[in-house]
Amino acid sequence: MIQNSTTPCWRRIGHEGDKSCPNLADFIHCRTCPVFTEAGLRLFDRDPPEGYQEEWTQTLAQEGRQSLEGTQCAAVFRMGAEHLGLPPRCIRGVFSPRPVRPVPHRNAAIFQGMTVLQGEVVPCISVRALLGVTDLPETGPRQGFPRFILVEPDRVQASDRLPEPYAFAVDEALGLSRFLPSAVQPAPATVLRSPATYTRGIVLLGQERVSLLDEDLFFTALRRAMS
Amino acid sequence: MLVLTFRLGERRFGLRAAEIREVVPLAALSMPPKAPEWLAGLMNYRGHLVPVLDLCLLALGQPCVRHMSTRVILADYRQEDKPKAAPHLLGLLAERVTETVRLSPSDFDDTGLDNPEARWLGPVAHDAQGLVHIVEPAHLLPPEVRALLFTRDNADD
Repeated sequence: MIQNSTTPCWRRIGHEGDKSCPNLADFIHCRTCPVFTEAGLRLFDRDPPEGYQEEWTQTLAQEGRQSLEGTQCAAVFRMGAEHLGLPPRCIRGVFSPRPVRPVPHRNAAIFQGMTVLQGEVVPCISVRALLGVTDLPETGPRQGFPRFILVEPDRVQASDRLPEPYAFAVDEALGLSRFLPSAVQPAPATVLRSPATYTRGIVLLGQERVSLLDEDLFFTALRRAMS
Repeated sequence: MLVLTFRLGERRFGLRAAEIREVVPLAALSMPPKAPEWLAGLMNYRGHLVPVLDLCLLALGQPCVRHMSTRVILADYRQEDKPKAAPHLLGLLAERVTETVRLSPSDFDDTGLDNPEARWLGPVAHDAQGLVHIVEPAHLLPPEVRALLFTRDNADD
């Protein structure tokens, strides 16, 4: 390689050169040396390429990322053909499915039994049966993994009342989604034993219509299932 | 304290990262007719017009060299006398806006100077790369300039 005075030090005496630079003892490799960093930053000290300013002028003039201000959030999960959402404040965790131990002399259709999540014994409710979720045949390839969701009313978590956790199985936990309150449409006319009974509204998230469950109605139903 | 450093000529300056909304490349600026010379222009930032000040022009009397590293710092501008009011967005054009440094209070030194001509120059810190002069955006605009730029506030007065 031809070397002259414009050859950078990392090619002359640094890691790509004869490694005689005294700073190598401290920095081990040129890429951790401030001289190398400074040279890298200096690469920006040149004229912008053609079209650079025009492109940025257009990009910056467009509306930016939407602000989160005023948005609401829902923890979305899928059960059969239904996508349902709960306020994240009442969700304590999402877990892999665990064995459920039935309790004798109890209606096993809705109150399925007890399960252990994080060392805590919690009742397991079939929300699918409780809400009357329809099991449509799966369209397309099956995605996601079945999960247990651990919920507790927000008021209980905030105060020192007796804990009131419930677990229920879902086909897929889809995470948190944000939406504007104005995007929530009213729930359709209620039918007995359908998620609509417990829905405060429906919001379109991506391709899916998500029924937002009313927190109070939902926990009242869970409580009733236990008694 | 995280500080964004930049150069005006060869001298090193900094802005507190907490006061910065975004750093963007220099977009094409529109210049209103009869605009004062310290104004580099108006920038269309997400549909809002934001005044952009050329800091080199302010500090050295000559405009910034238009390199790729010459960028617009979108800073929150709060009036000195109204620190609680909602901040305005002010664009600051500076050279070599490429680095951030973390400074601790012990790095700072009082200059002992109070230059009424350059009240926007705040405390001075020193680190391994030399001195950093902190710029105070609140003191950048003299009252008459402020009145020109942010007419919204005048309505409140």
